[in-house]
Amino acid sequence: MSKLDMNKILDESVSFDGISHGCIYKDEQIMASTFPSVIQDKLTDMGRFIDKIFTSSRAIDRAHDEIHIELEENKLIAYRVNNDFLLMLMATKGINLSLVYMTIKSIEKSVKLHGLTPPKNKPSQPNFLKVIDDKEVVTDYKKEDIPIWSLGSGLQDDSAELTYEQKVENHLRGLKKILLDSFGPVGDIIFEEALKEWQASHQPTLENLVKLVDLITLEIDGKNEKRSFFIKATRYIRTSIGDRR
Amino acid sequence: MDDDIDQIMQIKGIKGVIQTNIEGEDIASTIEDEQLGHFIRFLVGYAPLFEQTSELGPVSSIILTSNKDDNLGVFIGKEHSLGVLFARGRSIKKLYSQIENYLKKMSIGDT
Repeated sequence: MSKLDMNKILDESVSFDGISHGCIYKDEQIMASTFPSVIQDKLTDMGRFIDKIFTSSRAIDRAHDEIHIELEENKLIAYRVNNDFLLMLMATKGINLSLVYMTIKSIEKSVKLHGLTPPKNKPSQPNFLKVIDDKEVVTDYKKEDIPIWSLGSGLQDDSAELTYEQKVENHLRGLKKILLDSFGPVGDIIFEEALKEWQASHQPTLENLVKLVDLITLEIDGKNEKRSFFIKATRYIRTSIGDRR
Repeated sequence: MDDDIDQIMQIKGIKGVIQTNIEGEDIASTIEDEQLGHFIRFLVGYAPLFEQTSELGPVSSIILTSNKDDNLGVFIGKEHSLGVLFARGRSIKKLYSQIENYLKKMSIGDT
């Protein structure tokens, strides 16, 4: 039987509801990942940190092979699989841990039996050309396909009482919320990176928010994720700004 | 504080507790294994470094589990942190629910 592919292992691991992203860390590198490329470098550092914790555990003759790092809204779970590689998963707090655990044990067994091959295209560095290609696909939709989508509560009402700057701020918060809802804390990093670039190259106007949406879309990995964000963000801007011009 | 530690130690499955201050020095401890004590203090000190590296926000706890050894949880607070050694196979959610009130009392974690 042929060896298992790292990407397949990752696909299996992130197929559960409650797991947003995953990656495989081995030999100081991210071998496969579904995290946005903008945090690839951070992932390598995180892998190094977690690896050091497992190494320290072994140094005192303990055999810990699973770690849960509780964050504000999510948790990062990492497994040391067969003392060979780390599988790091970003999960919601209420995730069914037994379900994930049994999947990991099954992966562990399969890897022992069949071995493991690295993916053909290692995503340890962001592939800028691929991102641009994906961006082109994102715009391939019809305007009428855009679903009705609401940001819900938590944002100021964009009324005539707000100053122009406050309206821009309000919409920036709205775009950030879309990202956070879709990607959890990773969304914060994507937003800040894109915002920095937007502020450096564009006037902070309502009209230029579409440029920010483009920049954020560039930072997101995966065609479906790009498409989903682009549709939500475009819809948000069109309904909240476009109709009031 | 020592009363809290004594009460936590009464919870089924909990085998040891260390309470540390922000510098990682022991305030109270029932863990006799010196190396394990060092490892817990190491984790307390490691949490803020992980926060800086990952930029994913504050870390409220780090829990290590194993099929062979007892599990280990470190709950991070602004002034104190709590390390808990608990029995292998013990559910993490169950542990949280059992020590939640003590963590609140000590202003630890996100409870």
